[in-house]
Amino acid sequence: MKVKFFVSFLTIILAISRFSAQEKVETTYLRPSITTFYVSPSSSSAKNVVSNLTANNSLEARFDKHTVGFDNLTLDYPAKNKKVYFPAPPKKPDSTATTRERKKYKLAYAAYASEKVELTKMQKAYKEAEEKRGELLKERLIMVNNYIQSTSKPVVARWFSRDSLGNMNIHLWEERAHYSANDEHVNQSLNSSVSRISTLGEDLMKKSYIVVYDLGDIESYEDIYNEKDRAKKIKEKYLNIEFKPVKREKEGFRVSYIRYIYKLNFDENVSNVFYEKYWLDESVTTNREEIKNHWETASFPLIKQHVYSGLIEQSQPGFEEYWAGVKTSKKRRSKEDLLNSLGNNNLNGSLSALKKVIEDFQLKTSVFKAYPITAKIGSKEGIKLNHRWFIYEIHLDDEGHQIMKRTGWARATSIGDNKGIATGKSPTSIFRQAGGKEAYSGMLMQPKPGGAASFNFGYGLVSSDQSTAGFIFDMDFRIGNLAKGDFGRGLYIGLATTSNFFRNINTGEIKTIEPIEWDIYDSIPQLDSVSLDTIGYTPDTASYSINANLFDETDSTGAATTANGNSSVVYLSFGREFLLGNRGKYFIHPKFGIGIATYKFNIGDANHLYATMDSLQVDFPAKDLSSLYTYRTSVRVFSLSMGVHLTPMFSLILKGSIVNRAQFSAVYNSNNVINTPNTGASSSWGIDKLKGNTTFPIFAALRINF
Amino acid sequence: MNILNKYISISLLVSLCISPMLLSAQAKRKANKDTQAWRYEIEGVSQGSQGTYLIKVWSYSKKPKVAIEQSKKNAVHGIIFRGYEGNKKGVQNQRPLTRNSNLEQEKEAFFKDFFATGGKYMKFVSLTNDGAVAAGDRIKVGKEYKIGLIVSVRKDALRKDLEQAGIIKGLNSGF
Repeated sequence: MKVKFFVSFLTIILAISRFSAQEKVETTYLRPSITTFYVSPSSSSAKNVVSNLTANNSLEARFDKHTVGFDNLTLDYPAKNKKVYFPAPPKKPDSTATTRERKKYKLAYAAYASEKVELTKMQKAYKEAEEKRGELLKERLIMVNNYIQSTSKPVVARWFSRDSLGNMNIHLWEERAHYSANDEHVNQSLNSSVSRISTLGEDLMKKSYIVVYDLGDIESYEDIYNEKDRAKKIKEKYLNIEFKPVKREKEGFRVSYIRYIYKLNFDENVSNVFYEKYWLDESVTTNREEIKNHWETASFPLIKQHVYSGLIEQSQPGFEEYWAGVKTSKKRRSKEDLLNSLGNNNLNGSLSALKKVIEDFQLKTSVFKAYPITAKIGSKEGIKLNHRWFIYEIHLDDEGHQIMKRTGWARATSIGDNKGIATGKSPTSIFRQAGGKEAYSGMLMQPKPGGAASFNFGYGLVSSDQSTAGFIFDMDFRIGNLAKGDFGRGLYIGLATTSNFFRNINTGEIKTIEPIEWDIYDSIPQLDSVSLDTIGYTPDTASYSINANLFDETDSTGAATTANGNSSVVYLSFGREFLLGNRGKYFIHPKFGIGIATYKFNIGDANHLYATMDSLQVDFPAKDLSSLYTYRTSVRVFSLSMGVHLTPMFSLILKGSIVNRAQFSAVYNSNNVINTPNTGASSSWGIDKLKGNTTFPIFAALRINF
Repeated sequence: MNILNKYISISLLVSLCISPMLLSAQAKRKANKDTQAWRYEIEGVSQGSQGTYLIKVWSYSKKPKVAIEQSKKNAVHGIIFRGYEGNKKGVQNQRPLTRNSNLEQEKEAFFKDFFATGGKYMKFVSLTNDGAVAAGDRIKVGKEYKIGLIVSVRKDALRKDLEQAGIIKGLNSGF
């Protein structure tokens, strides 16, 4: 049953990850244009915020800025009503309370009950006021919507460069179309008697987006904390506790906003009406006034795409303790400075993150040629080096629906500088495939960032020394994403671990080279110096030492000594992935690392270590036994992984390592630990090579990429 | 025993040498087989430049490379025998160069040479966009691929050539 469930679950996950069904897959990317408007309160501070936001408004390379001369809307929010808070009732005295305390409680409760009656009346009035405010907010929302609808006309006017006389032209269409056109468009135009480039302008116009930010009132953190204090003060009024103001975590200002994104609907019907009723150019000599009048009442439909609520702020820590501890290089900004810089944000800076909800924002291209994989996309669209792209093949199912099926993935290794007008021979960007099936011209490509972190889970297959084998867990982080050069591209930094458990392995005789010293008071904490004096010990030196065997060759029964415990190797690794073949399905990944190797024995198996002081037996301190029976050394590891990419997320690897360990020492006192030769120490666990050794474990692992 | 080993070695060597040729020949046979069925669709893309048609030809094959190779041949075949329908983007209906539905059978020998691999048809067709397939024009349908390529067919030159060869009649021949 569990297996069935697991198989079904895995099938669903794989299906979701590999396929995405659509009626018809949109395969072309046309640059969307963005026009931004603001709705803000009438205060001068709010105007300043809008001014800052406008100045900082910058779009990603994949978008065109469509600026129009249309005023932002000034619209106040209805004033907020003062919230009514209720105090908590006084705490009822318990059975041990005195008569005076009971009397005090009764008085307090009477005052509380009386105030509650008043507050209930106030709350009723507050609720009524809130209802009225709710109505005003609805009216305000209608006004905002009306404003948004009105923005479509100036956007259309700008597309046709409408002047004060009402004349229009398609110069901007052509300009944008020439910039947006790719080689495919250009080559078609070269073989056509009709300019395909100009007709592209209409398609671009259909990708017009209007972004409206509706800003709220500016709030100061001081007011926010004061309001919290007021609520707290009222709540604690009858609790007979000292009032403590809430911690001023921040000081500064904030303003909330709602972002609306609409798309201009300039479909065939709208287009026909536009040319019939509103088009005017210098060649039109009749009915000009009538057409201009039509334009005055014109409106163009918008389709809502996305609504988002956010917050912008300018703040700094607001509690004095913070500023008392900071270095002089960091200055505390004045409130005026914080207020004046409120809005220094680029709210439009990450619109591409909406690509999942707004398909037009999704970059896409096709494989131009393979191999190497090239695509007609580049700096004009703002693509980034080393970013991962998925390669898809479009399938047609039995019902005629198109299905995108991922067939591979690749990373951009060279960005073509295609800024400028396409010529038909524009530079291409180059991609290195990192897995999947063979790529062909015409396959769809879309960016899918990921694969920056990898985790390996596996187990040792072969090793002459089990202490360097066992379970492996590696974390690798792709730092090559930041690299520009070829070599740096596949670099990883990571942390690699192996761990294993041993049961009843022969230890042979193991001892430290130097005597083991310890503090006598740790051994006999119940004795103080006076009682030690009584047995004739002068605690001039607080330490005591023995030349101890950590393990004897045989135990008390005469059998070979055995022990339980675990071993581990942990190291910091640096490596590089090399993809093999065109498809990059297979790879090798050499790594070098330095770290620590450890044996940790269960202290239940430890020798009874003690020394005698006159008649007294001085045991080695129990609390330090664990560190005395933990041996550690430095380790150098070189590993070579060979692997196969199954999916972008999963790879299988076979990892061979050379593990070189130095002389082991006890963690307790860093004394070297040595074996006595020929006393039966287990060689399969490397116990007989505490002076250092080199082993060659081989692991199999599953790599998960995120 | 030594003689046997020698024969085996020679056979292996010969097999290795001729296997690429055999594979290539197999691919060509496959392409020709697909062509003989003349399974393709054509649609007008835009008004072609002087004396040309700019069309998209959809070819079918189990191997995408074969479909791409056959696109040029299919495009010329389509212009001669099928014509294509117009669209809303200003592309007009185009009738085929011949109205004789039996012409292909009647002039079988001519067209066999004409459409042979590397045949004369190559003179009248060229790929746009470096022969690259646009995203969305490479679709897997069942076990085969449907590949769309935009090609420019020199229809005036093609007509003239066929007229001169006596395969089709001139436009003014009826008057």
